[in-house]
Amino acid sequence: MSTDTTTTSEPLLAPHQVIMRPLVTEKGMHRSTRYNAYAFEVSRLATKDDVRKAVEQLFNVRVLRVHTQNRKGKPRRTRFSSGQTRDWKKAIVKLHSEDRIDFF
Amino acid sequence: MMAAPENPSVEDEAAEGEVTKLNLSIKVDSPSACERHVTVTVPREEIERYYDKAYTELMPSAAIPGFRAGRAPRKLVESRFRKDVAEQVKGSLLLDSMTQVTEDEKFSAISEPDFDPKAVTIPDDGPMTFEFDIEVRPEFDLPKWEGLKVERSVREFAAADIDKQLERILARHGRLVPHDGPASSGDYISCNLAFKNGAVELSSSKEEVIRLRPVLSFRDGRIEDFDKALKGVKAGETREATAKISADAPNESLRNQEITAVFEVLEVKKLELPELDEALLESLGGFANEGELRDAIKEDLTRQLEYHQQQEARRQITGLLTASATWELPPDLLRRQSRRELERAVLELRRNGFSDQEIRAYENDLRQNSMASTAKALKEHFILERIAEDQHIEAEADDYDDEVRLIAQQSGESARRVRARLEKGGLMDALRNQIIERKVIELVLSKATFKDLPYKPEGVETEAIEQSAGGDEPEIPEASSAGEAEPLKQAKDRE
Repeated sequence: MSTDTTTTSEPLLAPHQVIMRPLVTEKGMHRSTRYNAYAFEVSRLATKDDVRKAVEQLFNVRVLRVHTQNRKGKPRRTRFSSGQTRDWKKAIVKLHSEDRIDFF
Repeated sequence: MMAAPENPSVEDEAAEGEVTKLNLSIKVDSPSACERHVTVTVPREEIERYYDKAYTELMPSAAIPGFRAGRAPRKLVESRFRKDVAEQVKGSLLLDSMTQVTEDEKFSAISEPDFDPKAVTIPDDGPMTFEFDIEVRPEFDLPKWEGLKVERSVREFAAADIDKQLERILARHGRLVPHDGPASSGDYISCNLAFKNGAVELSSSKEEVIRLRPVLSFRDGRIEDFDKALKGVKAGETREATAKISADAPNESLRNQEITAVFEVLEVKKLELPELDEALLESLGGFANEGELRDAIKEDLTRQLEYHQQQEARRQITGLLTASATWELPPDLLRRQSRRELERAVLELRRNGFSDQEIRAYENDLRQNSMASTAKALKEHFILERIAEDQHIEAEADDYDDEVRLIAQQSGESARRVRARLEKGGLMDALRNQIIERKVIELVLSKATFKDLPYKPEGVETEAIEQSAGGDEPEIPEASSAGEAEPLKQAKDRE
């Protein structure tokens, strides 16, 4: 049912609001070369489907699969006050074997 | 000059076995015998090769967030460090291409290239081009320098000579005592001095203390027979003398003109020599007794004779050597070098134990014929340098030390201070030239045949004041005080 609502109604977020930044890391490089999968930081509100559409639209590629993770912020402390870094969402997007994204 | 500091890096590269000559296209224009305008074009492949090398070197240590050091992909490193690496590549490209240019073109540079590395940028694509001007030693055939015939002055200094010199030293510590009668040669006058061209007053100064000597020199001219012109003058009298302005005076309209110098004598003074007692011996340089002072004076005189011999020999040698040097020097170069030449001359005089007064007289003299003397000195320098190159004569660290020590001895400062002063004033280069030139002269002399002539020390005939008759040169600070009084004061201050 939920898929129905997202496919029929207007998406909540524009593609550039869904994909916040690519995660360029050693692990990410490894994944992109071996599995053709790319990691992004995405909006916490975005669903896998939103991510799929955003990536397809922004990078002009075909997405096979999307995995997401909700990452909890880390506790931070300055002197006597304790705090927290923000929570965020990571998406790992597997692309069609013929498509590639060039981050740099 | 330029190639020297770059040699080690070339050797390093050679040791690593990866030195590849740059494929440069060099275009050299020569506007005159001593100037070269060089345009260098570095092709794109060379730029890319340098970039490649730089990135390869950077890769193992490149730290990028999200990657362990050295694990980041090359493409990422390239995009991340493009700007830094570009700067580095530009530096090494310029350095290497400059080295190669000087090696290929066999310039013997006499000045630093007029070149601003900041103005050069590596274009995003296409070759990199930069240009610079450099002054080079003109091409000439080395004249035959072995077995020249040189006349040499020789003299053993006797007690009488030392007496005379001692008197001169004592005079430095003497007291000026007012004298009522007429002035005679050797006396001092305190006067208001004005230079006039017809009725127009050109310059004036108040209360100059001047000694009556055969010649009075000032910055841009001299008065001959000065002592005769003012002989018998009394306090309150006004006398005139004719001054001749030199051909190189800053005030062009007055060059080679004769103008009138008006001396309004305020006071006549005689010099009273001090008693040579222990305190004075101490203040003269810590001598225990008169014997020691005399020894020191003898040494000084010998050194001055050496200087004289050296100058004489230099004059003769360079006269013989420059006879064939007919090439022209650009006036621009002369103007720039004349200051340097002056510095060099003063340095040399100081080293050879001349007093401030004598140095000043010589300096005035040099200023007056700056162009001619610079041209001559430069030609000499070129020839001597060329011989030095032929014979592989280099200035060693010890030579610098010796030289600095000697100057320190003469000026009563510590060697460290002298060295610091020289370095700060950029005179180390002048010192180096001086050392090399002296070494070459020594070499030439060692191969020359001598004819001995008796040496007659010149009496001090010139009184110098730091004033310009035709108005001051703008770049030279105005004289701080009256001529003779200044060194007296300084000498005392130092001790």
